[in-house]
Amino acid sequence: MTKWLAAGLLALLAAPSALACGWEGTTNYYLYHVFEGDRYAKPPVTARLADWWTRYSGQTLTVEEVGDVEVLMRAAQRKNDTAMQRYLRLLQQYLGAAPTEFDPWAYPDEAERLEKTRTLQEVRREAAQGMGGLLAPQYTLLYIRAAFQLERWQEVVNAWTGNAENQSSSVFRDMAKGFYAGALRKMGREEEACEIYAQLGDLHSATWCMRDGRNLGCIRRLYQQDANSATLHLLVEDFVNNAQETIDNAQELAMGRNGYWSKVYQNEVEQFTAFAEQVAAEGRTKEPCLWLTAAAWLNYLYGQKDKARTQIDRAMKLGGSQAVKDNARVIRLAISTANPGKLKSYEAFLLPELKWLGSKALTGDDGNPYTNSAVRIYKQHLAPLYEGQGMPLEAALLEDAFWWQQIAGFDHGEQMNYSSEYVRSLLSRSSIQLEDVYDQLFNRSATPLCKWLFSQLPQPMQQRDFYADLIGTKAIAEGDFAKAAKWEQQVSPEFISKQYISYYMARRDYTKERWIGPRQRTSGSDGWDTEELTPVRENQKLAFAREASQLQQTIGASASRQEQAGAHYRLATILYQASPQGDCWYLSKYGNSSEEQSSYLDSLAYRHLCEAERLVTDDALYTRILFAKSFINLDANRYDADYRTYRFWAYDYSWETKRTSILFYPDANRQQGRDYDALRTWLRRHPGQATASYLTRCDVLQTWMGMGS
Amino acid sequence: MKNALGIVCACLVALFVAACRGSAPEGTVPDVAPSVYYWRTTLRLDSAERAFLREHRIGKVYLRFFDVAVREGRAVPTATLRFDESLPDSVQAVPVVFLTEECLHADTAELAARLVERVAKMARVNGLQGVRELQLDCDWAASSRATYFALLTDVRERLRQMGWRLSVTIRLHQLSQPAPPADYGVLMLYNTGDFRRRNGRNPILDERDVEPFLRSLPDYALPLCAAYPDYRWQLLFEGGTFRALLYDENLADSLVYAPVAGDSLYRVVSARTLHGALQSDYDVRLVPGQEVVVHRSRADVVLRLRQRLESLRPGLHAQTVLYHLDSRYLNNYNANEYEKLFHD
Repeated sequence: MTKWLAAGLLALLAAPSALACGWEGTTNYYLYHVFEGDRYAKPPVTARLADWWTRYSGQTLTVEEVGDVEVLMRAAQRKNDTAMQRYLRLLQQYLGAAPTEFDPWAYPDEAERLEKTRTLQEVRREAAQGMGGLLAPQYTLLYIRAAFQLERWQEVVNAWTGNAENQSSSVFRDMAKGFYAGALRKMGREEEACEIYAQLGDLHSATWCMRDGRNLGCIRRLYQQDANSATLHLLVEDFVNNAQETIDNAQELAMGRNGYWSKVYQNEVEQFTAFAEQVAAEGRTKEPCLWLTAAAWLNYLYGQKDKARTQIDRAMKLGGSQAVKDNARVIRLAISTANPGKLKSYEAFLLPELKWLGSKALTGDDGNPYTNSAVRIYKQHLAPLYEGQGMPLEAALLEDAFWWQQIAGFDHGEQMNYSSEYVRSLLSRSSIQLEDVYDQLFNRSATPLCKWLFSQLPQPMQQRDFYADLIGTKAIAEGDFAKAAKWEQQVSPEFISKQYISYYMARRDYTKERWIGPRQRTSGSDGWDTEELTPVRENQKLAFAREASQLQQTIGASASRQEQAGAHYRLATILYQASPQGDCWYLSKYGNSSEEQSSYLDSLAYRHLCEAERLVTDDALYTRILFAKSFINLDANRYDADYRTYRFWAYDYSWETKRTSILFYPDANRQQGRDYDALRTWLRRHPGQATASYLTRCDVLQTWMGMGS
Repeated sequence: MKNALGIVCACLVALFVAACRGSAPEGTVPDVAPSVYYWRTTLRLDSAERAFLREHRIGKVYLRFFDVAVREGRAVPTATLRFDESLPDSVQAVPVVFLTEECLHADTAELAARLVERVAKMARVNGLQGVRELQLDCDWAASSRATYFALLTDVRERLRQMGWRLSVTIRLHQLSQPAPPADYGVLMLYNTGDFRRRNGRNPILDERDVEPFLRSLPDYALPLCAAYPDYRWQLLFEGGTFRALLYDENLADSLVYAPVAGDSLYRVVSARTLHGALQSDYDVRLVPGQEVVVHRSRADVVLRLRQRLESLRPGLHAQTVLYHLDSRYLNNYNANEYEKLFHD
C-alpha cells in the first residue's frame, strides 16, 4: 500500500506544473512508540491464523480461505485427521448458531433463540470434553466462544484462568485471551480487561477501557500494582505523545503566559519526568529503558537538551524489549541533532544510524511507526541542522533523502523531479551557492554522508549537466547573463529535450515583444496543451544568455543614443519574455504558477525600458516604449493591507447584459496607472503616432483614451 | 320521515361545524399521554429514570427500536435496541425506527415489508404488550419526499392490517411541505439550529431559528403533538471551525480542559486523541487552543415556546413528548418545570 502511494505521489510531483498545487503533508510525527512498536512487531491474529492453517494443510491459505470451514475440512480429510475433522464439525455447528455473516433484517424469535442457546450449550459441552486432548487450544477457544455467546462471563474467565492460560503460546490461545478480556469488561473489570487488550495490541479497546486514566496518577497507581504491566506501555506512550503534541502547539502554549492551565499541565509533565527517572532507577521494572527514554524525550521537547542527551545515552544501556530498545535508538538519533559537536565525528555516528533507521522504516506495510519517525528526523531535525551549519547541499539532500529511499525501487527513467524538495531547496539558493554545490559534488571530495545521500537520487539527477543547468537557469533569473552563458554552454539540447520545458522551448520565441500581439499559445500532438517531451535543436537558454549579455555590452559600447535606446528596448523585450509574465518563463525557472506575478527580470526589463525612453530619439520607438511600460505591472504581486494586489484595469463581465466592460483603477502612486496616463497624454498630443495597429487593436488603451480630458 | 329529516339536519350541522373550524386537520393525536423518547441502544432504566416516569405520570415511551442506514449500497438495520429490562406496566411503548435520508435513495422496494415485520417481531419476542403504533423518523427532503411518502403509504397499509397506527416525526422545515400520509405527527422542537456553526445561538433550541417556520403551523394538515429537548451537547471548535461532537467528555479534567466561561465554554490545554467507544470510528484529536462549547436545552426557552405554539395551534400540547429520557439530563429542569411541560 505504502509503495503504491509513493508511486502516485512520484507521478504527481514529477510534473513541474504541480508546483503550486502539490499536497503538503505534516512531518510532525510522534517519535515515542513503545505500544505501537509492540503492535507492529506482531502480525495480526488473522494473518497468524492463516499461517497456522497453511502449515497444517501444507498449502498456502489466505485469510479469506481460513474463514471457510469447508476449505479446512478438506485439508483435514486429505490428512485423514479424524480428530481435526471432529473439531471442525463442532466449529461448523458453532458457526451455524453464531454466524459471521447473516441477514441484517433477521431478528430471532423465542424459538430461534432457544435453538441457538441449545446449540451453543451443546457445542460448549462437547468442546469441554476436548479441552484436555491433542486439540486442547482449539477446543478451549471454541468453548470460550460458545460461553461468550451465551453471556456466561464467569465461565469464560474460569476457562481462561483454569485452562487456556496454562497452554503454550499459540494463535488460538491469543484469540481466547481476547474473549477473556471481553468477559472481564462485561463484568466491569475494565482495568484487567485493558491489561489484556494492551498485551494483544488492541489500541482502541485498551484506550477505551482507560479513558479516564490517561494521567500520571493512574500511571503511578498501575506501576505500584504491577511494575511490568502492559497497560503502562499504552499509558506512557499516550502521555509522552500528548506532551509532544502539546509542546508542538507552541503557539497555543503561549496563551498560557497569563493563564493557569498550561502551568497545570506543565507541572504534570515535570512530575511525570521525575517519576520516570525514579522508576528507571529503582529496579522494579524489567524495562527501565522505556522509562528513561520517555524522560529523555520529554526533557528534550521541553528544552533540556543536555540532560536529554545524557539520559538517552544511559537508556540505551538499560533493559527492555527489542521494540523498546529500538525506540530508544530512534529517540537518541533525534536528540543527537541538538548538539552534534564536530560534524566529522558526528557523521561517523549519524550515517550508520540513518542506514539502520532506513532498514526499519522501509519494511512492512502501513502502520510501521518507524516510517513516520524517519520523516520527522530527516525533515525536522537533520535538514535544519545542516541548514544552520551553512551547508545547503546537505540540507537540500536531507529534505528529500527518506523520500528517495521509499521510492528507490521505481524506474525513474530519464525523469528529473524539479518539484522535489531537494531541487526546490537548491533553487532557493543563489547561483554563487549553486556553483559551490557543483564544486562540492564534482570537484572536491564529498563526505561519506553526502556521498550516501547523493547516491539515493535518480541517476539523471546525479549528472553534471543537471547541476550546470540549475546554475545557468538561476543566473538568468538573477540577471547574470554572462555566468548563465558559461554554464548553459555545458548543457546540451539532448539534455533539455528530457525536460518538460522542452515542450514550450520548441514552440516559442523569446525575441517577440510580449506586449505586441497575443500570447504565444502552444498545442501538443493531441491538439491540446498537454505537456510532452519534445526534441529541441538548440539550448534556448544558452542563446538567450548570450544575446542578453551581448546586448549589455552593446549598450555600453554604442555611440548613438538611438542605438543605445534600441539595445535597451531589445534587451527589455527578451528579459520580459523570460520573466514569469512572459511566454518564455522556462528560461528562468522550471515551472510556472499564476500566483507568481513578477520577479527581478520584469523589474529589470522595466528599467531598460526607462533607459530606452530616456535615450530614444525616434517617435515610433518612443511610442512603443511607452506602450511597453504601460503593459508591465510591477505591482502585480505587491499585497496591500487587505491582501490584495493592484491592477490598473480589469475586465468585468455582466451576467445581465452579457457584455464585458473594462474597469479602471487609477492610482497616481502606482506605476502602471502613471504609465497609462503618460501614454494617453503622448498619443493625444501626437495623434499621428496613435494609428499603429498594435495601438488601435488594444481595447484597454482605446477605452482609456476615450476617458478623461 | 322524521328520522330521515333528523339525519339530514345532523349532517348539515356537522358540515356547518366542520366549515367553521377552518382548515385544521380532522382527527387528533390518539391515546394522548405525557411521553418521552428513549434513544439509547440498551433498554435499561436506572432508578432515577424509573422515578421520573412515575413522578411525572409518563404514559408513553417512544422507544427507538433501530436505525436504518445504507451499508454497502443496501438499506439495513443498525444499532438495534437490546432489551435488558422491560418498561413499567403503566407505560405504553411505541416503537420508533429512524431512517437516514440516504436510505430513500437506495432500493426501497422491500423496505416497508421488512421494516414492519421486524418491528412486529421485536415487539412480540420482547414481550411488549399492547403495542398499537409504529413511528418513523426521517429527515426527508423535497428530493426524497415522493419516495418517503410512498414508503409511508405502504407501511401504513401493512400496519392497518395489523390494527396498528402510523405516526411520523415532523421537522420544522417540513411544515411548509405537504403532510405525510400518517395518522399523526410529532413536531420536533429540538436540533433546530446547525451545531456546526458558532453563531451565538443554541443549536438545540433557539426561538429565532423556530420563528420563520411557524407560519405554516396553524393550518398544517396533520394532527400534531410537540416534542421538546432535554439534553446537552459538547461541541469541539477550532476557532470558528467545527471539529467534532464529543461523547460526554469529563470537562472537569483540568489536565485537558480549562473553564473559560462558567460551564459553557472550555479551552483544551493539552493534546489528546479521543479514541471512541468500542467498535466505533470515533477518533477525535484534541489540540491545545481548541474550545469546547457546551449547549444545554433551557426550560425558560422551552416553556416560552410551548406557550407561543399553543396560541398558534390550540391543542398542540394535548400530548407533549420529551427528547429524551436519560438520567444524565434529568436535572436540567426542576420538577415544576417538568410539570408545566407535561401537564399545563
